[in-house]
This record gives sequence, structure tokens and C-alpha cells, in this order.
Amino acid sequence: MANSQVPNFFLALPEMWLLLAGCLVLVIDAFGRGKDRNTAYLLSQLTLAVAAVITVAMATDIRIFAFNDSYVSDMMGTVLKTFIYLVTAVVFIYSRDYLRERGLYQGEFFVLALFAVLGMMIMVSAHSFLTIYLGLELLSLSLYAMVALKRDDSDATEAAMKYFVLGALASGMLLYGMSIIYGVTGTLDVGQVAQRLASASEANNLVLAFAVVFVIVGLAFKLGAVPFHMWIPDVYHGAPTPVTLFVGTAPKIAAFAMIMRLLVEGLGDLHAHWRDILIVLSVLSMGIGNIVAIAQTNLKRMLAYSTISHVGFLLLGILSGTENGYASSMFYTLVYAVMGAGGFGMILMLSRSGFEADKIEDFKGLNDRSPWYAFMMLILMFSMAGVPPTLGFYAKLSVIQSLVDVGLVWLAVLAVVFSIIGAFYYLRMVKLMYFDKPVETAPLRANLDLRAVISVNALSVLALGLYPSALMNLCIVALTQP
Amino acid sequence: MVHSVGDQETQRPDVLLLVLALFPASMFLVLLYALITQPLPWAASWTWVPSLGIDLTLWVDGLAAQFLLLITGIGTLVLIYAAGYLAGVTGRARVALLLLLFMAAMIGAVISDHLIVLFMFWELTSVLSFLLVGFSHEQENTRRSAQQALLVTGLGGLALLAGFILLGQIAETYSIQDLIARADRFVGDARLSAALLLIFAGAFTKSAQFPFHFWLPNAMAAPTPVSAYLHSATMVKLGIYLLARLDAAFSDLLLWEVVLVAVGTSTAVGAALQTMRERDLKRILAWSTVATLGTLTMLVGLPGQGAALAVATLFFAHALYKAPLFFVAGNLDHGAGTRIIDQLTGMRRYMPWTAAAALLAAISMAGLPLSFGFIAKDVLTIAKAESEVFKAVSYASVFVSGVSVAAAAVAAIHVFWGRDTVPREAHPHEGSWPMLFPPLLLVTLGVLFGLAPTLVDPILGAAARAIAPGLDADAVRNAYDATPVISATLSAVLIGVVIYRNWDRMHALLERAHFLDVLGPESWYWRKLAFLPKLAAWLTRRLQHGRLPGYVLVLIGTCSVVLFALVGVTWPTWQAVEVSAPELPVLLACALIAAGALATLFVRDHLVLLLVSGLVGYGSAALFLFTGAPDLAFTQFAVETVFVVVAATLLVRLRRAPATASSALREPVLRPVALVVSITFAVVLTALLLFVSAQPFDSTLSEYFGAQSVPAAHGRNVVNVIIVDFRALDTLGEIGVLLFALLAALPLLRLGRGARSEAT
Repeated sequence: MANSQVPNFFLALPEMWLLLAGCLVLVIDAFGRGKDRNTAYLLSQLTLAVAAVITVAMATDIRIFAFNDSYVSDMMGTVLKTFIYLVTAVVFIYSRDYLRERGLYQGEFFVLALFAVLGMMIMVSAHSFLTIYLGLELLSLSLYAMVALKRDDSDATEAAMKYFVLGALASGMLLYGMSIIYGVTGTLDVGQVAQRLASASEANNLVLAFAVVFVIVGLAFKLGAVPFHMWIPDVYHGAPTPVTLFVGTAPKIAAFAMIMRLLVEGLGDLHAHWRDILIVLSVLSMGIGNIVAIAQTNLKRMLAYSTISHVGFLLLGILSGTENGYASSMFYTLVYAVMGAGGFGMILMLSRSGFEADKIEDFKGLNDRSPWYAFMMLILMFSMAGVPPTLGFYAKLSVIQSLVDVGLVWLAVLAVVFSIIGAFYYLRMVKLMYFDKPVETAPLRANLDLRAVISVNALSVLALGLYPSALMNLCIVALTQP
Repeated sequence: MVHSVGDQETQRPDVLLLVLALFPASMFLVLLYALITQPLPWAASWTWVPSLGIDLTLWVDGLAAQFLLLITGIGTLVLIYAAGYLAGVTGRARVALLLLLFMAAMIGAVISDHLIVLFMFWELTSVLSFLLVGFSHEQENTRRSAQQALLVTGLGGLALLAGFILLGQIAETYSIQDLIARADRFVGDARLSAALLLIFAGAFTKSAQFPFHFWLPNAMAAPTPVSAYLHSATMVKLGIYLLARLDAAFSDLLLWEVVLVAVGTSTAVGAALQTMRERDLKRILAWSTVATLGTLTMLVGLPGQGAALAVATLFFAHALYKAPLFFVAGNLDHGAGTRIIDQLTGMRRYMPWTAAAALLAAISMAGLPLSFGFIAKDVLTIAKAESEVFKAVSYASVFVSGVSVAAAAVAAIHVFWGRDTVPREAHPHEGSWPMLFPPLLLVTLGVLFGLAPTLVDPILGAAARAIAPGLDADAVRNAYDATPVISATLSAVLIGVVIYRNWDRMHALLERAHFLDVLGPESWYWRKLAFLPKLAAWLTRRLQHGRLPGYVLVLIGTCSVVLFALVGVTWPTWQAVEVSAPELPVLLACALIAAGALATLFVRDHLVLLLVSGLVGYGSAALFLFTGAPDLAFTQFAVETVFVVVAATLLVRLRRAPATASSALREPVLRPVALVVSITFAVVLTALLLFVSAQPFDSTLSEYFGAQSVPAAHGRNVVNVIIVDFRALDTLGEIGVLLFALLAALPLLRLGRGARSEAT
């Protein structure tokens, strides 16, 4: 059997490096002297940087499989992984001060995050249902622990508990769906599943329809699509803001990869089955997400609902079932991760010891306190609302266009209507920042690196908006690779 | 407020703003030179976002050129005016910068030939106007109006985007010129009406057309230079510009004509009525601007070449007289400290130059002979005569002109002539030169063009040809008939004089017409604004209650509903399933599982709960035993036993700890919804299982292992062979995992021992 061959380990070098480095950081942090955790921080950043270098250096323009076809190295993986490293590095930079001021500046945060990144990498490169599931669980378990990092905080532990129970349930559903697919096709390999589905009998098709439902429930939960979104607001709110920032950004990229591998590549033949379910999910997500966000007084909760609505949008591209649609969804996901990082980063920058800055009114009159960062937040809010010429506009535009291309005009119009409703609460933030009197008058204090990176983050949303072709082409190239 | 009476005389014009005015001024001159030397149209194209089919295509024809002249020309004057008006005001540099950016956005909007690019600049103007309107944001109403303006125009903009995408889909091009060229190919498309209605929504919000007109007068809270520029000369005309742009493609459509004429006329009449309800000069001007915009919309809707010429002329004339009037209102505000007309009479004594500008602008606005406004009225009357509109539209138009005569009279006569009877603390004063030069220049141009219309003929003709391609200016001129023009002017002046003489009485009468407030779209706007948050709050309470069991219920419930629906849809296939009766031992095992599961529902004690849930495990083990998997059964027995023992030990320990007194579950005995959901879920899953087990079993793998067990691995126990031979590497890995887990558990165990020894 093929088992006897030595697998091409080399292809998974980024994953192996991250595993090794993560363990090293854990050990060094555990035996390191003093209370200063800068070593762990710096080593984690170094780990990500090296991983990025390895990943980019190993990029090929053909798809290569390894480990009995359960691992694939392709352009999509390279692009998504690089973004995961980037977003995680930014998360680390944003989080440092916040963690230090609250006594959470521990090696665990960084190590768990690194293992979560490893989980995401596996999800991105997985080419077998089993590998996908392994990556997902590694990611999820790390995230559960991270949410509960602030052990003595009842909000955080409650959020972690809910996340864990619901997440385990959803994982179970996903696994159940996968096992049905295995039962029908006799393989866990994504490529072979796709081949064998093409010749499935009628009875098997029926069973597969059930499998699709279970798989989608699992995926929708991980993404946070309505009605499987309940964990998102509670977890975003309850978790320490740096963890929220992390949960809200990088894992979405991995979830997109999971959808691509599982649904598009593996179950592409069943597009007719999953398309309608995704339509319902995305309409509900855009509707509930955008409407409920209006009522929120807590910015983290508002961004949670905004995430839900963005998830609805990115599902639109996938359900269109075309290369363009997938590329636009990928673009949307990456753009969302960048915008989300900036949005939560602003909360982190405004917060300080004993003050969370996570209420919407904490942003009142920000323009009087700091015109520059008010402008940065303005760009981010406009981008999330989809106002041109920011990146968020192109993300929405390309998704909507891919819908129109396949004749789903009504859905496209609905998407525009929901983004109109969504614009309401983003613009309210802008109004608060520019036209209201500040409640909080203390000047902004944040480290230089945080200030610099958040400025770059927000400005890139604008700059890339002026020339979106580069990122968009990257997505198209990544998805149309032979 | 951005100013106060008296201390302004010492304010010197702001040099920075004057310098910044050089930018648009030089652009204006370059443009003028280019227009004279280079024949129109100019076109250029670059690819921008190829994957979305977005090209940066520029197209400058007569219509765009006319707008460019207005944008840069009036832009220059506005910046000069702001140098005087905003002198010494904090944040003036920001206003100037935003004005320049706004100018750039406007330029982008009128020269782009690509619908999506046009939309981007369009939205940019909305956003920049939001920041400009909110400039003096200390006042609550300013903030509200800035938000209102942004919401209305921003939302309209999104409708516009939807319309553009749809239109692009129908026409298979986003280029406006291509669209016009191949219009006859797709005008029959059923989706076109939807696309056009969406585009109307965008254009009407931008150009303050009924029923979206209410935001414009409220936006008058902005500083005067901003109002003059955005809300009169440029931005609000963008909607009309778009309609005029597309007119060449759709002017033959009935929908196009009916909607534009109806909406334009009702806007004009409504705004004329509202004009008479105001006492604030700036708001009077704002409503009269809305009326003009309505007239423009109506003209775009009218078929015929005269209408196209009328649109171009009125665009131009309006900019030449309305901008100076806004400047006049600003000078009054600045010099006398108020814009309320009751407190403004006889201002001519204090501000002679402003008075002169007001008079000349008002003559043009009233459409009196020898002014450019008269020329505009001229063409307008011809256009209406040419296209045989309904009589109602004609009468409405005369009424609107009458009100506009009256409003002009209020601005020029009521305010400046007569005696100053209002007691004041300080004498009003004339504005500095930057505040006088712009209005005076514009009104002078108005008089000049009124006397010699041939000076602007080329540009107006070119603009009209862009709107109606086949336009023959000579034909229009030859068809000129003075009679209707004179009668229209006379009747408008007559009505205007009557209204002006009875202004206060009309005002008192209309003031009482409160139904205009209640029924107006504005109150609807606020009601809708209040409704959304209420809905949102209600949804939050219903969906995000924070209780985990509820969340689980939704998760399982949704699955059950979807799966149940799936069974329903595919019912015929299910009927074919044959279920054979299970053997007795299997049945017993199942009964054990069911008993365990059911018992968990009624047990309240944690420990007992654990034990009965163990029944489920033992039941499954028994099931494995009787269905031919004894090895699995033994594993299951072992795992279940170990689990129950370990968990029970933990529970007993926890119970001893005083902190956790609540070992019994505090859950309601019965949750009806949960019961229904779980039964549904169970039924569906059982059905699925039955269906699957009725399918033929794929025995490739078991046959392979069975056949290879002896020859390949020399073992008779197939299970053992699989574990230690065929999958030896997996087993090694599993052992490794176990060992690592133990390694991790060791320090924990030691920790516990240490704690105990400390305690004793």
C-alpha cells in the first residue's frame, strides 16, 4: 500500500516549524526568569516571520500533494497562510499593552495563539476530511482556552463555556456529516470524494443530502452564520479584547479555506444541494446581523454582529458557485480580516488600565481628542459599511457582481438593501466621533508600534481601495491555479 | 456660530484660503483655454480593476465641460469667499481642504464614463459633504442635519449602485457612451424598469427631489460657502447631471418621461409652497433651489430638443444667480448677525455692494428681461410649448416661477430697501473684499450673458447636444416664438408681485398648515429611524438572551427542521426502504440504551445522572457485541467503566468541597419545545440510520483484511493483525499520545499530593 512510501515531509515545513517553535516558546517561557514576557512575545513574532518566509519561499505554481494526498500545497494555501501570519502578528502588536496592564501578559497567550495558527495552517492545507477536522479541533481547542484566559472573570469563563459546549456540538455535527460522506464514497480524500460523487447512485445522493446538511451546520457554526451565530456576540463580548481580536480575524480566513476544501472542492458536485442552504444562511446572517447591530451599545458586540453580516456577504460569493464568486469571497474574507483587525485594534488602543473603551460612547468626540485616529476609525467604519473608495466597497461590489453574473439578481438587491441598513450603525460611529462631545477626555496613550501599525492598517484599507487590482488578482490567481 | 457682529471688521482675509483658490482658478483657465483650442469630446481610458471590469474611462463632452467650468469657476469664487467669511475661524483650513477634495470628487464624477467609477465619486461627494455640513458641529441641529443628509444621500447612493449593476448587466457594458450607442438593443428588457427606478432613487436623493427633498433645507446649517457650493451650484445638480447623461439612451421610454415630469413638477410645486413658510433667508433660497431642481428634472423628462437646451441653459443660469444670492445671505449673516428676514430691512445703507449684487441676481432669478435668467426662461417656455405637456405641468411651472419672483423680491427688495426699523446693538457692516468680489463677478457675468447670449452659445449648444444627440440649435432658434415667452414672464411677475405683497399673510396661512409637517416624508424619515433600533433591540432580547440551553435548542432545532424538510421532499425514495425486524439481543441492547437516555431526563442528582448515562454506553457495548464486533464491545465496556469511575470519583470529591453546594441540577422538569425538537431530531436520525443500513455494504476493506491477514501478517485474529501490523504506525502514534498525556498528568498529580501534604 501507499503507506509504505515515505511521505514528502518537506512540503509541510511551515507547519513543522510552527509546531517546533510553538513548543520551544512554551518551554522557554516556562523556564524563563523574571516576570517580563517580552521574550515570549519576541520569539512568537519571530516564529511567525520565519513561517512567512518559509511559506512564501516554498510557493509553487502547481498543486503538490503530500502525506497520501491528505495535505496539499497550492497558491490559495500560500496566500491564506501568509495573511494568517500577518494578521496574527498584528494581533500580537495590538495586544501587548492591554495584556500587560491587566496581568494577562503571559506566555500562554502567545503559545495558544501559535497553536491556533498551526491549526489554521492545517485547515488551509488539508486535503482530507480527517486533516481538516484535526486542524479545526486544534484551532478550536486553543481558542476555547484563550477565551477563558482571564480565569477569574465570570464573563470570560461563561463565554468560554458556551463556546466550548456549542462548538463541541457543532464539531460533532460536522464529524457526523463527514462520516456519512465516508460511508457513501469510501474515502476521506477530498479529491477522491469529488470523483466518486460524480457517479453516486440515487439512494446515495439522498444520503449525501443529509451529509451536506450536517457539514454545513458545522461550517456555519465555525463561521458564525445565523442561526448558528449565538456564540459570537457572547464570546466577542466576554473574552478579553485581544482574544476577541484574534477570534474575530484570522480564524475566518481558515474557515474560508475549510469551506473551499470541503464544500467547493470535495462536495462541488452537490452544489445544487448546498446552494439553497447557503442562500438561507446568508440572507439570515445579513438581515439579523445588520439589524441587531443597531441596538448594540457595546462596540465589541456591535462588531460581533457586523462580523455576522459580513459572513453572510462572503457566503454569497461561495454560493454563486463560480470561480469569480470564490475569488470574490476570498477577497472579502481577507479584506474583512484586515478591517476587523483595525476595528478591534482601535478599541485596544483607546483602552488602558481599568478602562476597556469597548462601549460605543467611549468613542464620542474622538476627533477632539485625536483627529488622526478619528480619521483612521472613519476609514475603517466606511470600509466596513462599503463606502468607496475603501477596500470594503470592492469586497461588496465583487461579491454582488458574482451574484448578478449567475442570475441571482434578487439576492444581489437584497444584499444591497442590507448593506444600506448596515451603513446606519457604522455611520453612527462616525457621527459620534466627529460631532459629539467627548465623555472621556484623557489623551491617548499608546506605544509607538501600536500607533504606527494601526495607522498602516487603516491607511492600507484606503490605499488598497485606490488600487484593489493587486489583491484581487492575487485571489483570482490563487483560485484558478491548475 | 462662526462669527459675531462687530469684531469682524478687523479680520483680514485668510491668505491660505486665497492661495488655495489658485488651484481651481488655474484649472478653470486651463480648461477654458483647452475648450477654445481643442474640439470636444475628449476621451481617455486606462484599465483599473480588470477583474471587475472597471476601467478608468474619461469622457468630456459639452455637458461635462459645462459642469467642469461651473465646478472650477464657482469653486474658485467659493474659496475666495471663504477666505473672508471664515477668516479667523478655527478649522477653516480643514474646510478649505475638504472643499478642494470635494471639488476633485465632483470633477471625477462628471468626467467618468464608467458607471461604477461614477458611483464611487458620487459616494465620495456624499461623504465629503457630510464632513462639510457638520463643520459647525457644536449645534445639535447641525449634527442631526449632517447625519440626515448623509443617510438620505448615502442610502440613495447604494440604490444607485444596485441600479448601475443591474443596468450594466442588461446593457452588457458599464460605459455610458456604449450604453447610449446600443440603447435600442435593450430598451425592451423587462428588468430595465427596475434598474431605472433604482437609478431614479439615487438621483432623486442626491438632487433633493420629492419624496427625498427634505434633507436639503436642513443641510443649510452648513457654513455659507459650503451651502453655496454644495447645495446650490454643484453637488445637488449631480443627480440631474446623471439623468441628463442617460437621457440620450432612455428619453423615448414612457417610464422615463412620466416619472421625471411627475416627480420634477411635484417637487417644484411642493418646494415653492415650502418657500413661503420660511423666514430664514437661507432656507428660502434652499427651497427655491429645490424648486429649480424640480424644474430641471421635469425638463430632462420632457422629450424634444428644446428641453435639452433648456436644461443646459437653466443649469448655467441657476449657478450664476443662486450662488451670489447665497453669498448675499452669508454677508447678511456675517454683517448683521441674522438671516431672519423680519430683522432685516434697509440693509442697503450698511452694505451697498451686497445690495447691488442681490438686486442683479434677483433680476436674473425672477427672469426679467436683459438678464441671463430671462434667456433661461425663454428656452424653458419654448421647451414646454414644443413637447405639448399636460396643462397642469404648464400651470405648475408658472406658479413656481411666480414664487421664485417673490422669493427674489424678498432677497433683494425686502431685505435691502425700505427703512431699518429693527433695534440692534451694533451697526451691520459690509463684508470684506473677498466676500464681495465673488457675488459681484457672478452677477456681472449674468448681465453680460443676458445682453450677449452668443458668448455662451457654443458651450450651451455642446451641452445640449450631449443630452439630445441630434440637436440642431438653429432649428430651435428658428422655431422661436416671442408670444408665449412674454405671456409666461408677465404672468410669473404678476403672481410674484401678488405673493410678495402678501408674503406675511401667505406665510401665516401656510404656517398653520401643519399637515405638511406630519404627512411630509421627513416625519416618516424620523419615524423609520426610530423603528429600526426598536426592532433591533427586540431581536436582541429574543435571540441573544445569553442562556446556553436556548442556544443549543436553536442549533438542534434548525438542524431538525432542515432534515425533516429533507425527508419530506424526498419521501418517495423512503417508502422503498425495507426494514427487517432486529433480533432479540439487539432489541434488548437498544432498550438498554433507550432506558439510559430516558432515565437521564428524570434524574436530578449528578452522581445518579452519571450512572444512568453509563447505561447508554453499556447498551452500545452490548449492541456491538451482538452485531459482530466483540473487540469494539470490549473496548466500549472498558472505556465506559473507567469513565464512570473516574468521573464519579471527581464528583464525590467536588461534593465534599464546601463551595459547590449545588450538585443537583436546577433545570425545569419539562421544556415542551425542547421535547418536540429532540423527538424530531431523534426520529430523523433514526430514519436516516435505517435508510443507510438498508443500502448494500461496501465490503472491499474487510475482505481485503480478511484475505491478507494470514498470508501477509501470519495472524489469525484479524483485529489484532490490523492493530499491530497493517496499521502499526497508527498504533505507535496512539501509544505515543497516551504516554505524552501521562507525562503531562504526572506533574499535576504531584501537585495534588504536595497540596495535601501541606494541608496536613
